Amino acid sequence: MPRSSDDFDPPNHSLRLHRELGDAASRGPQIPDDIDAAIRSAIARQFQASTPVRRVTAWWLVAGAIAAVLFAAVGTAIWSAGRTALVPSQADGRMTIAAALREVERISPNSSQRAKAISDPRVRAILMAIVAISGTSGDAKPLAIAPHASFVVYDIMIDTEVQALAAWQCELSLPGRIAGIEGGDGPFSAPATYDRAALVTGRVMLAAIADGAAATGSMRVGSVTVQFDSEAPPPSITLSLACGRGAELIPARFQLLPRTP
Amino acid sequence: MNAYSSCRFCCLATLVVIAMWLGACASSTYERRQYSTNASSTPLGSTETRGFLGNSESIPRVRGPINETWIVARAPNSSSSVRAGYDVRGTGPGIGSLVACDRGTDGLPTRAFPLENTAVQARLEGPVASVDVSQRFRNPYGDTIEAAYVFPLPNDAAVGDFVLRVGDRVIRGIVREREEAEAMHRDARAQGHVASLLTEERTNIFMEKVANIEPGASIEVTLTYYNMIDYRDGWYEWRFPLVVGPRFNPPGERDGIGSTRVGGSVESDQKTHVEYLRPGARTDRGVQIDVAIDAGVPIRALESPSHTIVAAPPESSIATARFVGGEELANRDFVLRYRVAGAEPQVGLVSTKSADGKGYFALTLYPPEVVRIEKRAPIDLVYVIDRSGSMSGRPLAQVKEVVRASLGKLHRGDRFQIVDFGSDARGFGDAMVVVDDRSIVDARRHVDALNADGGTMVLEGLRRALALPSDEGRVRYLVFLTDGFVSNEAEIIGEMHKTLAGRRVFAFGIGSSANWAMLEGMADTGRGAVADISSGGDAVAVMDAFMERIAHPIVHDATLSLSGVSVDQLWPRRMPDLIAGRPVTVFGIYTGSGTSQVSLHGWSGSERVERTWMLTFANDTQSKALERIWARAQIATWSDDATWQPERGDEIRRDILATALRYGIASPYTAFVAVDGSRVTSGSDRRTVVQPVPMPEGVRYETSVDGRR
Repeated sequence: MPRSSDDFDPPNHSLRLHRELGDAASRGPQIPDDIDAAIRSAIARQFQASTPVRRVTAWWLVAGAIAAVLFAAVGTAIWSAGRTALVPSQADGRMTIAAALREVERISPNSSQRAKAISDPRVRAILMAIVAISGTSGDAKPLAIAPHASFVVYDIMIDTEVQALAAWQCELSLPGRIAGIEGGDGPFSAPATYDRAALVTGRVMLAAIADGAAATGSMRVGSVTVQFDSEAPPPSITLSLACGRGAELIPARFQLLPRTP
Repeated sequence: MNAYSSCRFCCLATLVVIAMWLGACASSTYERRQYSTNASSTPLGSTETRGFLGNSESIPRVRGPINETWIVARAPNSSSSVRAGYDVRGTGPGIGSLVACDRGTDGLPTRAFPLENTAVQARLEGPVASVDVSQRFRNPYGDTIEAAYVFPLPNDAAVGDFVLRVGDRVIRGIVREREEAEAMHRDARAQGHVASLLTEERTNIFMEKVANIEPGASIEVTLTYYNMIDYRDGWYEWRFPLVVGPRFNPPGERDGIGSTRVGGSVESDQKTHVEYLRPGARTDRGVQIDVAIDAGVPIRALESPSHTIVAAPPESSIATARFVGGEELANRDFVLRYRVAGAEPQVGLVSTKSADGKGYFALTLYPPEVVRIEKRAPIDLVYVIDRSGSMSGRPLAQVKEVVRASLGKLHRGDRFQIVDFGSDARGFGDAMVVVDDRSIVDARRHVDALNADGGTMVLEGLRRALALPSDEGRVRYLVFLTDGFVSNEAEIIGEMHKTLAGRRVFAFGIGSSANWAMLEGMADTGRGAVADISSGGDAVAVMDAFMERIAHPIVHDATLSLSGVSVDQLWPRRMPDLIAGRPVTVFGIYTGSGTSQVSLHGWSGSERVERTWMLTFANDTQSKALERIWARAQIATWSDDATWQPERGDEIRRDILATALRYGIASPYTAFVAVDGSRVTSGSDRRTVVQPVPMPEGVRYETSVDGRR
């Protein structure tokens, strides 16, 4: 399905591109034969793959009618239910009214400004148009962040106060999938290793040894990127172990802190 | 409809059109705000010819007069699946994106593509290689991209680590079930996070994707693999493949490796897709290979038959070698050989204990290099020659040369036949031919008349060779001479398992970057061996030596027994014949430790032979690589089972998956994924740009890519 007015007539679009390439060629560089063949072939395929759009006027009339229906239905919803009724977003990530409203909200953080903006007929028209376009736009790529699959980074912090930390190990309780292990600061800049066998059973066990001099005080010894499926309790550290330079256990306070962008 | 209604409807339609236009503007604005912090990139929109690149001033490689114009990407369409290749989701021309290219100082055309550099660091310690392969990608375009690169690794490589470097931040990847890893990568890509994915497409072909590389940004991906170093004819040989050869996909194949020309009109319909540069063209990728050898015994000689290297003189058992070059030299396997002092080894053992107390070992038996020449019984020899399009030119010429010479080595009383295959299979005749002066002359004339063309229907050649009438009491040898550039390796190996019976298979790799995964699979199945007759040296001499050896196995029908330690899960399950100059390595798990008696029993001709050695199994961790190498060998055996036992497919898949996850290695069913969730990149386009590769040296472009494949 077309995405914008430029794409409504693919053959013409392709021909225009071809013509522009030809113009470019006439100005100096020559289009290689295979590129030229590629374009011609692609144009031919496009003709085959696309339903020919011969009656543009009729199409616009149909599209206009559909948009008008959408306009009326969603406009009524806006007036009657307000913003909260429009929140459900589409899982496929296409632009939605909710996303558009969030954008309005971002631009106009003040509620009164927001109300004014939403009540503005021009904004409303834009929102309706967005809905119309997104609803018919089969080739729209995912735009919104799908809430079911967001990635969050957690920093692993260890505070050993005056004791020098030479190695550490911990087990994380993650209500999601670990997607990366980042190195920490100072002597823990190399990413921690993880227990592959434990991960098979869903346990995330990390460990690292200081590269060089052991460090004291509070430090970030690593980070993990976690993908969450849905609203879930925050991750936590269930087991932890810190060692000093002599491989002796030392007291340490472990923390898992979400990193804010 | 009356005039009033028509007018009202038209007015409404006009209003809606205006609203949609406003909406489109707002939508475009929204995209930029959502993903771009600096809003500097140009989203793909109505600026067709510069959409992808944005400002053409951002193209870094243009110097002097522009003399070529290439489409490097196309606009995405509705499909969410992304194949390797350009953003091949769009089958039409969509919105063109141009990149301008120049010629390098040597006059050859260069292209601006994402892969900037490949750096390989290999540590060869005893018989085990640990290799880091770093690919550095840089985005030369005006909008955020995903880079995709299909590249080869040795077919026994156990990929055990995967690290993503973004600036000075280092992120270790996680091995997961393939579908899960792909979904995570897809999600991260859609959400604008830098993410990388490593998948195994074949045992020796991998694909790397790096999503959301911002304009001008560099991202490095490093994988680490482990494998055993080959020992051939008295030399240790370390081989690093640098290019994937163009594969032939039989009709109906959809899970293959597609080959097309860069920017070409024919798109591959295969799962994996490789694009090839035209002859003389190259990207500006650099390649460095650094090898550090610790042989454990004094090194006597060090050489590379494939590339010019800088090597420090060996100091006792330590040596280093370095190769630095551009992509024009990355069109063939890099081969490094070294010979060590001392008597020929007979047996070598590497063993280690893991943290859970489980022991892993690799036991290598080294048959003597020199064959005791004695009168042998007559043999049947069938040459199976690949005359497909990819063999055009030098490869087929080399085959003709070695077959002509080999025919002269046959004895009176031997019989032979020649089968050649391309899109079909033909032969010198329909029955075995007795060796005499006339038949040899005719056979040489037949070989000389062969022309390379068409597909690579190995199965047709195999079936024709197997259909030749056999004679009880004669051992039949099938000698394959091929580059192995096919995608249906599993089908071929499966057919061999079912139909070979007692026939032996020897596979000669032709060309500078043959498909060793298939060649070794064929030889293993046929209890034979492989030989490389293209990596420098005298091909005819290699063939001559081989002819002497194949009829004289040092030990056949061999069995291995160990006492003192308890062993389990040995791979391969069946001991192959020991052939002069071709060691055999057995991998296994052991419990216990200390000195153990290792015994080899078998037959040498009609004489029963037995060899015994006392070896020490380790009681501590000696090598972290070994358990992964063992796991890889186990997976290889299971994969081999799957080729001829399709009814066990689900069970084998489960076993492979469990082992690959347990040992954290790449496999057909696992993949590495690394996501940098700390930030969302700017840009709105995020299309995939594939890294094209050069044609392997000696392979003719015209007969190997596009259309036919």
